[in-house]
Amino acid sequence: MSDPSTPNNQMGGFKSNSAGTPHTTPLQTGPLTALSSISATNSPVSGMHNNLSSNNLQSLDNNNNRFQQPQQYFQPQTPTQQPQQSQMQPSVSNNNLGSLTSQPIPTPQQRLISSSCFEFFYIEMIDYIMKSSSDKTQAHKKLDKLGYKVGHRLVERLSNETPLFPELLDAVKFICKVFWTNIFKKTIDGLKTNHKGVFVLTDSKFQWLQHLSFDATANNKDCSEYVQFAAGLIKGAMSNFGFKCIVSFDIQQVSTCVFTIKIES
Amino acid sequence: MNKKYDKLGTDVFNKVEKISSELFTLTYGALVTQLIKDYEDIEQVNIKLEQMGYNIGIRLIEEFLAKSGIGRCQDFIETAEVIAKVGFKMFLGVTAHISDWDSDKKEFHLIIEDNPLIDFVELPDHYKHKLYYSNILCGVIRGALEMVQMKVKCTFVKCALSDESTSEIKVVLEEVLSDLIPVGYD
Repeated sequence: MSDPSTPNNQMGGFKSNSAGTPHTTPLQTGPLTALSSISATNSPVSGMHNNLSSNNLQSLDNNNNRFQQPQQYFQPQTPTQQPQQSQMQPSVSNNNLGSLTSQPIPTPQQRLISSSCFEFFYIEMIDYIMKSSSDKTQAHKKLDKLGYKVGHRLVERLSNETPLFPELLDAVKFICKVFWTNIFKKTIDGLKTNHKGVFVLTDSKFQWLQHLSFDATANNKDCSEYVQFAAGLIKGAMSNFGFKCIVSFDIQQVSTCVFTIKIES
Repeated sequence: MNKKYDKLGTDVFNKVEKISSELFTLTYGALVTQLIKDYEDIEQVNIKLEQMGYNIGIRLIEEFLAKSGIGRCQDFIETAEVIAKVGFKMFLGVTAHISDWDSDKKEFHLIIEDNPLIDFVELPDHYKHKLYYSNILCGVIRGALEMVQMKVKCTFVKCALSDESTSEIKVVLEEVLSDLIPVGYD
């Protein structure tokens, strides 16, 4: 239904104005290179369709000046255009489905628990998985699988009232914003993409590494098991949206985590 | 006394950082499923959950004392009230009730009407009355109380998932440990 390869720029506009942030910056550094295509779509002087898609390329960080121009260019149109678009395109089933699901289902009041409650439990869960596995690889596989199950179910509940995502990027944005906020009370800090199915998500203050103590003399400085579960969460959420992907991650500095989503076609 | 701890529980819960319970509930469910897969015997799963809870409890008590500012309880009756009204409220956002005191005041039932752990959960019939799904709570209570010199035994007597109206944990005070002996943990 939301096949990423279908070029439908109008629908891209329909979804991406839902709440403003986060937006993506084109990937400019790192191992993923598709720079030429980025600069072409990012140009505000190209045709109307390109402008619609360039809306997706705005920076996650709203203060980033480089991308202010396309944002200003596009902003005045967005709030008014959405209803028109859905009227103009009655044949697009995605729009109809969206309006159907967004109204009648009442959401139960969100129940809150103390975040330390989850973290105490999380530490214990990781401990159990590590001890019950024969080696690290198996433990990581188990954590990934657990995360996958939880992510798959959690995103189902969170996206209850959200219309279907017409484009891959919108699904990733949902994960960066709604999904991440539900889990960590913050959004992803940086999102980059090469527009060829690779997304790089940066969380510069990854909650589940915050309370680990650091011993410079310790032999074992590996804390990847505390992140593997989150990678599984992303994978599960993406699969619920119909995108099969590989999620890898990298821990940088103290608590910066970089997740790389690679869509499998 | 009741009212005092009700208010304290609400105040402390308002102060702590909170997240939505869904992630916790779903992750807990996934872990229990994993445990059932790993141990074929359901009784072993109950024991393992209790152990995990114990490990949580011995760490959690520190945060509890720090954030609630509660000092030493006068007697076990007060301890029970603090667990139900402040402890449960502070971490899970719900309060529990105390009932069924025995004549020595060393044994009570903790009734949890609204348990976030069992949201979205249904037990298959063959696990009913065998698996104590929320058994981790028993361990947490035991671990936490042991750190404040009270050795207790906690058991589930009723579980809402096994077709009973509420969840009920029986807490029995076995002995008050001496302050002088350092308490080790596994």
